[in-house]
Parts: sequence; structure tokens; C-alpha cells
Amino acid sequence: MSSKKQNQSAARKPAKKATAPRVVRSQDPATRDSGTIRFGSGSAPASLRK
Amino acid sequence: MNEARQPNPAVTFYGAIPGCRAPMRADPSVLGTLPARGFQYCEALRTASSFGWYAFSPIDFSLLWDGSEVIWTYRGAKAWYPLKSAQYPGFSRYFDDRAPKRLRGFAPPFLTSTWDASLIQVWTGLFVESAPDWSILVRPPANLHRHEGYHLYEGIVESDRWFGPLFTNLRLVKTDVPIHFSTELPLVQVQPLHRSAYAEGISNHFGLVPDLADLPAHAWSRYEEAIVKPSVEPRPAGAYAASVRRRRKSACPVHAE
Repeated sequence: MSSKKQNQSAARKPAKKATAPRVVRSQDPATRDSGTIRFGSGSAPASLRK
Repeated sequence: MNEARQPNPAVTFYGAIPGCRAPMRADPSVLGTLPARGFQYCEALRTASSFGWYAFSPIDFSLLWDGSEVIWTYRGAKAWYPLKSAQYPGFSRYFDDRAPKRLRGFAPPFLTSTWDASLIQVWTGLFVESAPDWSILVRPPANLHRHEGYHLYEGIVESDRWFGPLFTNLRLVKTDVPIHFSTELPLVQVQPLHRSAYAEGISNHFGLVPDLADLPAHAWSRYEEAIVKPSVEPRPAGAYAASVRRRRKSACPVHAE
């Protein structure tokens, strides 16, 4: 295939769509945490945590 | 995590997460990323780089902060999830299967978004303890360039008195940019610190000679030896490095008789 034809064929191909990350609002069951254990600054009073 | 324990090590790591990459001695070449000239001749660079051990993230994961909340994903996950507090995948059950009955349900989280959403705690999957009077400085890997989308804090932990997860705190500073953490690069460098090295008395007291005119004779002589002579007389490259390595081989400063 000549380089001209190659360029034409590449131009006809639709550009690959960038896909946005799929965000799930629920927690992942495999990583669900009870929130019982806190250490370091994570152990700040609950009133300071959002 | 099959390395035999050395007799009386200053610091002992305990693997908790299965398959978690074991810590390794910090590397004078910073895993091959230092310029060859620095690696070969700059002993200061090599010493700082190789002081302590690297600890890694237990899994590849990514964080994305939009300015108000953080979402995250990890290798093998099918989506991004809001981050409040998350276990290492499947670890909660693994922990409960092995922990004493009274401690079941108390597995440490892998990632925690603190009261400030951009502040994230990351657990390395290790527990750590140190010998009496030894602490650990947990800090960013020395001389390793890292993603500019986050800032890693440093902390000194009295791990001889406090046994717990080896973790670090980071602040996300770029919004809407996914930041990837790989198990291939060290997350933190852990350095053993004898308590005497950072005692208040040491830090609160330092000498100062404010004016060059007051430099004592011994300081002038040392300047001559260290800086002037090597500049005007031919000398082998890396002379300082060689002298440091000779000194290091001669004795251990902590356990000297």
C-alpha cells in the first residue's frame, strides 16, 4: 500500500473516544470498611471529620 | 516476606497483606534513577539515598480529587469509588480469618480520607516495630522524583512504644488529575532514628559564629583541607567518597565498644 493510501485509510478511521472514568456512588463490596479503625490524624475527633 | 530475621535488628517489619511487596534496603542509585556521575562520585547523595528501607503500596491504585471529594480505583476494579475509608480488597475477611477472635472486625483500612478530604492516609500493608530507643522517620523516598500532584508528609514514630500499621499521609494538590501509585516504586522511605539523634536538647542547642572574621583557626584549616587543597592539587575523583567508605568499614558508630 502506498503511503498516500495509508494516510487516506488512517484519516477515515474514527478517532478513538476518550472514555470518562465510570464512577459508582456505592462502596465497592471488596473494600468496604466499617470505619472502626483509625490511626494517626485519622483518629481526629469525629466532629472534625466530614 | 520470607527473609530470615537478623539478630536484634533496629527495625522489624511484619507483612499483613498477602502478596504485599516486602520492604527493601533503600538503594544508593535510587533504583537506577540517579545520574551516573552522582551515583559514582557523590557519597553524600548515595548515603542519603540508601539510608533505611523502601516500603511500597500493596496494590496499584489511583486517586482523583475534584476539589471537594476524592474518588479512587485500584488494579482489577471495574469502576471508581468515592473514598471515605477503604479496606485493601478482600483484606477484611483475610484479617478476620487470622486474627485472634477478640480482634476480628478491626482490620486497618488501606486508604482513608481524613476530615480534610484532600488528606489521604495510605497503609503500606505492613506493621512495624523497632528496638528500644529507636524510632522511625517515615518520609518520601530520598532523591526520587515523584508525581507533583501530591505532597507526602514526614513523620517520626516511636515505634518501639507504638506498634501499628506503617502508613503515610499525603495531600492531593492537583484537582481533576488522576494520580497513580504503583507497587513498582517505593511509596515511602523508612529510616531508623536513635532517640538521641532528635532529642530536644540536641535540636535546641546549636553553635553559631555569625561573622567570617571570627572563624577560628581550626575552621580555616579544615576549609583548606576539604576545599582548597583538592581544588588546587591533583586528586583522584571521588576522594571524599573513598574516605567515607573507609570510615564506614572501620566501625559501627552505634555498637562501637
